[in-house]
Amino acid sequence: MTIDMMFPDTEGEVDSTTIPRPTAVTSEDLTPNDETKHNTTTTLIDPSTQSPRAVSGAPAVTPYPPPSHRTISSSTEEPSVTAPLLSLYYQHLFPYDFIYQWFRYGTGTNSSSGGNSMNLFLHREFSFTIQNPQKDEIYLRYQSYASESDFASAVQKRCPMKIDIGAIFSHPPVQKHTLGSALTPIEREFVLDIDLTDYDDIRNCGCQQAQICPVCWKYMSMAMATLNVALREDFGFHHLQWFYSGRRGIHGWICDAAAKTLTDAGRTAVANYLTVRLHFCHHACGLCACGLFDSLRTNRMEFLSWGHSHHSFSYMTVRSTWERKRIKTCICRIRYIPTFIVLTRF
Amino acid sequence: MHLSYPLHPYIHRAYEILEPFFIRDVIVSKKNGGHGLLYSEDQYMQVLNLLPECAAVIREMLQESWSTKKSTPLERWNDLKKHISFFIKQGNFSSGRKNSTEERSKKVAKTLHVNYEDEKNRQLLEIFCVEIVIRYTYPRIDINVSKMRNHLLKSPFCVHPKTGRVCVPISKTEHRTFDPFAVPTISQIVQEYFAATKAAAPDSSEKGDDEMVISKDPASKQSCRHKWEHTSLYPYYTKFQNEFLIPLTKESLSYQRQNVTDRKDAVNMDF
Repeated sequence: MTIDMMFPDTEGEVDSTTIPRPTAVTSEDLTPNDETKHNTTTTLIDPSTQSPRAVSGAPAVTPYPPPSHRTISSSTEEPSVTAPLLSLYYQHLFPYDFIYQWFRYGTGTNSSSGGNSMNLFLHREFSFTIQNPQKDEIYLRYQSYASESDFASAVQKRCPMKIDIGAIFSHPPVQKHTLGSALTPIEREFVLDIDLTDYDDIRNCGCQQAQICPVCWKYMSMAMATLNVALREDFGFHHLQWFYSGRRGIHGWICDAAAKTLTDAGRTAVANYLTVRLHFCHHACGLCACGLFDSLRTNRMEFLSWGHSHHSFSYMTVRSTWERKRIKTCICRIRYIPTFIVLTRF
Repeated sequence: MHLSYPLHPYIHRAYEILEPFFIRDVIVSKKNGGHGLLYSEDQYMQVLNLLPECAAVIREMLQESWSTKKSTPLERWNDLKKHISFFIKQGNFSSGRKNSTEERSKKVAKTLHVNYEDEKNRQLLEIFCVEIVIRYTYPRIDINVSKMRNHLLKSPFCVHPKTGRVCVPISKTEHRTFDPFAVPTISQIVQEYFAATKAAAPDSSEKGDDEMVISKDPASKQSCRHKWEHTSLYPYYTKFQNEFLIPLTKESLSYQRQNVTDRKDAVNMDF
């Protein structure tokens, strides 16, 4: 047995019943079998042979091929995306029909609603980042289009370096200059953004900042596995889609009607529910878990569980209530969010 | 900062999901595709130093054992769990330090005839392994992107300006096997597209780029609706259509139809 031993090859799944529960862990809970099986050969994983796993089940603990020295960073990839390439891409290969079918949500021309309901695609904000010949970036916000062909023509004409998607507004966003503050967001998918930059304190593969490699990319698999279960089982969301961001992370789009109609406070509450922060917080937002925890510690208040009764309140309301009124009757023991935050209706 | 005790069911479920990843992808050595958390000494000392003071004896024992005896990261993880469980059973959680800051909790503990400090230490030890797994694997979302409705997010299917890679959808069957290095770049797919065009109709190459001249052979991809079907984007986009877009569109259309039916019924007073 050498210190540089290969990871033991387990033929079956890790037995989830052996994972210790919150009560005392006993030696019987630990399976000794894993320690005795050793694989001295490298097994390449062929994705096509891997059976699909239940999202909530434990994955098979299979040996992972040794990491290659591939990395993705802005310095090692092609230095720039040229305008001619982008033009060809937008002319032939960008899937305008996907964007239109998705973001119209069944409304608009040829819809089953007969044109009576709001054309959601028309009310959607698109934003373009365009690079002019002097290499300056021009940012065009509040663009909106009535149809797929209008959208395609605009994109092919502008050839943006980047396209961003915003909310569905009360009016077509192109009317921003006339409406001003009367233009308000009414719906938006619940989105998640996970970047490997936020894992720099625990990445020991040599990558930092925008650099990624096959080793640290696995954090994204962990993220998708955990969040899919939470979003499906705890919130009942079904229309989830993850996208590769192109460089160092993933974006999640949750498109259920209940998710789209979440208010800003509701989104904050859901995002905080999905957040568990035991590491040093770099965010200065003040609304993150550790910010609230520090606020609680300063106020030296202890609260007991509020329970899942009719006493529901939003995260925003509770925070302002605690800070302003110092409620002594409400007793929740909170060390971190999301232990006992109960969400408002959504 | 610590997790609260008892563990919230959400945390416990996250731990059950993440522990296999932790064992496979975090504690093993870099050669085996991990971060070496329980492989190299400087890494495992970071973990042992997170043990509460009352368990200093575990830290010393394991440090000595792991530095002298050769063991795999999995054996070390199991060792750590075993030692913590035995330590909890023997019941001595005194850290020898006085904690005088939380008077109210002490009064509560006193009424329950429990040594507050010992009880706190026991709780920290019970959830220690869960904390380690959560600390090193739990997803870190950028909350600023999620909390505001009018926050812009990069559109799917765009090209990243710095890397040239396309923002492709990740199929739900490939969450664990998705390879960002295999994602096609813009130059690659443009080349593939024009190679396919040329191969499909080699004698019509002067016709210009905006005509996709498909081979006259019906067995070929003459029925391709999309030009990306001739590129490496094909597997990503077809799965996206089947797994996400079609179900979403169906549900949206039926919702709209239901809305129209309800409105008509309301007008006709037909309930």
